[in-house]
Amino acid sequence: MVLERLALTVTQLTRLIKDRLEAEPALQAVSVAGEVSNYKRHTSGHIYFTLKDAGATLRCVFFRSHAATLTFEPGSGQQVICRGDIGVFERDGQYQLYVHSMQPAGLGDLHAAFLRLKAKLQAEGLFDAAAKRPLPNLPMRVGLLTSPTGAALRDMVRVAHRRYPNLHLIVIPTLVQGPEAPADIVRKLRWAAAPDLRLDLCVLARGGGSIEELWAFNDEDVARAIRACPVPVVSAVGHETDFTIADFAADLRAPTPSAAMEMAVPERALLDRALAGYAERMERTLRARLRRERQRLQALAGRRVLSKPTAPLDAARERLDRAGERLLSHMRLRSERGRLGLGALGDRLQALSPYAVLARGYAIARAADGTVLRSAEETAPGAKVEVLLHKGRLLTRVEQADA
Amino acid sequence: MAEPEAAPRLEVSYEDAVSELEAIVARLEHGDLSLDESLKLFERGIGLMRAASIRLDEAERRVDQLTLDEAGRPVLRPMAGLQPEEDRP
Repeated sequence: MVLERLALTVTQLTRLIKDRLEAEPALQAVSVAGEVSNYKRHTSGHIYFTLKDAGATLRCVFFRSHAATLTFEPGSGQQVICRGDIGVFERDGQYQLYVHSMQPAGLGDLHAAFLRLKAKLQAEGLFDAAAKRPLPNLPMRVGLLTSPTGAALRDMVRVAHRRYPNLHLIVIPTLVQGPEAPADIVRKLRWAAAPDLRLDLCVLARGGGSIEELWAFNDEDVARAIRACPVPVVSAVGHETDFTIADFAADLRAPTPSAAMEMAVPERALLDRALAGYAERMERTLRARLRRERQRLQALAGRRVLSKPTAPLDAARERLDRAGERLLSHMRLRSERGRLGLGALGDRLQALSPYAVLARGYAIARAADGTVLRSAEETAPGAKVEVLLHKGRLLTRVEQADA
Repeated sequence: MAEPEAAPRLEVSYEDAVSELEAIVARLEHGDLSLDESLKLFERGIGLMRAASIRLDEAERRVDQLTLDEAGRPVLRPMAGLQPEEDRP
């Protein structure tokens, strides 16, 4: 077949194009001005990006050997002037600019618009620290304004439930990119404010993207809607290095969606531990207090200067006993709650309590003056002895005392 | 023995309960109270602790999606693909 014999392979044709382009003097050592977009520095050190203006885009490669001469860190949205050679990347059939050097050329139009809006809203006080509301310590119902299909949502749900397993999350599907996005964000912030939704907090989130993809968050109406929302708003847009107008307007800016959950959702285990700590401290101080009071009474009983020693002492002792019983009854209540799954602390305290042995069938015998009897020698036939049982007490009289 | 008094059900927010609890613990530890005052504070503290615990348990683990019903009113529906059971393979 003649046609077949005349046909070039794709590689041959691509070579031909490559040779033509690279032989064209106007395309070698050429300078070109444009806005940087999709800027990526690969781990290899090579930099890949696109230069663009209103009418066209140009792929660019900045190899590490040349990129090392950079005196600034370019970013998406920046206007730059690149100098380099046009070449062809055969595998992809793509012509591109092999950049040798790059200079900043003032700020990109988008960036300039961003700065203008930021300055305007800042002057109005929209970003004032005083306007920022504190987040609730214990949010129970958290609204997530984000794309229902994005990775950001999945990350947020995972982190939130890891930290607080019984958290109620309410997803409010929201457009987070494209020309319709700002109006949709404003509308969904209004939904989030509905009183019967009872949100404690909402998070406006979007995963990383180019500056154009994040542009919906640099919108004046979005910024105002965030401030007007009666529920505190956390913004979590793009990557750590991306700052948007929404971030400045929000009550709290999180570097990423997962970080928003780390910042806004408390860790349940820590809260439980804190509560148990309070209980422990209260009981420790009260126990020490009762011990001190008892010692004071014993010291008083030892002194014979009181003319009618027993009456006031008895009253004091009774008061003390009642106090001890109240403490004990609280501990018992708490151990019941422990069984209900609210913490084993009550049980632990119960185990430490000297009264705990009573439940196992032991009894405590006390003389009429309240001292605990440890030996039969401490009492005598005819003496009154009070026997404390697990439930209630017996008032008894000694028949016989064998030491 | 005294009957354990039924702890009063406290209708306080978690944050109020915890901040009052903090204050109570500090006062108890300061130790310049009468025994009766100490016991009263202790009881109040135990009640607050219980109230705070209840608050922590109040929420229900779930993921809902806010959508519009036929009449255009926002309604909550469980969100497919993100329910707790589905988290665990």
